[in-house]
Amino acid sequence: MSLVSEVPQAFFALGASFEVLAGIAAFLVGFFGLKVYNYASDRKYYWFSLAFFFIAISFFAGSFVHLLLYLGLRESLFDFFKMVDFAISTVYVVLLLAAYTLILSVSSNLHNKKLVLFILALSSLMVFTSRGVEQLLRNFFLVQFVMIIFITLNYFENFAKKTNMTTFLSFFAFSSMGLGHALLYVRTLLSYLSPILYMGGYFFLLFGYIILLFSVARLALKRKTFKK
Amino acid sequence: MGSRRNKLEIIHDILKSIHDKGGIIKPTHLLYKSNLSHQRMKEYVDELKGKALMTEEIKDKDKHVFVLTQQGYEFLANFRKLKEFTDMFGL
Repeated sequence: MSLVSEVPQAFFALGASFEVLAGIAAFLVGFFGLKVYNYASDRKYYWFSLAFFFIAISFFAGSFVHLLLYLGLRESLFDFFKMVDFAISTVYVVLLLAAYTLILSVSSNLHNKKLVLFILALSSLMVFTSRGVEQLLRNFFLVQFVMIIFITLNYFENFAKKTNMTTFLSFFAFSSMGLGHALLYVRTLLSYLSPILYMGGYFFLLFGYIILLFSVARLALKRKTFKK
Repeated sequence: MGSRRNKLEIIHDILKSIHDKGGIIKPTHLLYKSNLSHQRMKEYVDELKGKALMTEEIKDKDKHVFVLTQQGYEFLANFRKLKEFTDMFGL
């Protein structure tokens, strides 16, 4: 997240602002999910909203790190900020892995808890047994990309079944996130490529969340149609 | 043939049946309207009473009725949004 040094400083300020928006989008989705869970008491709604709360926390944390980078605090000041950056980056990776595993499980109707834990364990092992930070990031983006591909396929099937605007928007949002992760992976794999690829990856990833924000806001602003 | 109702839709159908009867319904009517087995309806009724979406009251001569609460009306008012949300993510 914060480890690509050749990215222009201004990008970090922009990244931090976009991440706040993405965090709000994820928080709203989580909030709606929790509301449905309160009525229906079905565990899948609970796991789904928990996943989006994880994403919201990770984006707020990511935004904080990008802000540190923008202000130049990480490089110029104390070791304390480097420790904060490392801790937040680890939390960011762990929460996102857990979140996408949960979304994948819920959208695939996986009810076997052992299988869900297996996916999480496998993806965590792949990321955290990496040699060095660069490889950790590369593996993380690859794992996320593969998970999002399958989530996007689920949302495509959902759209094909219902063919309406809301299902299209969720499919479109996850497609954009998938493209974002693909670009981030390619950039970490081929480090001689332009850092624009890294910024492009972040742009598509966050754009996906902005679409989610738009669709959830659209839903929240709809008028109540039921009369007492 | 219609698709299988999810839990949210069943809750909606139960509360809507009470609403359509003016906010108060007899258990036998609810059983017929909700299209559930007796056992399943009992489970749902207990859950909805626990969530204060409906209450059970005794009317004249020990006759039990189900009454829609304010929260029940709120649920019905928000149902379209909640349904669209669950559809959006295929939940």
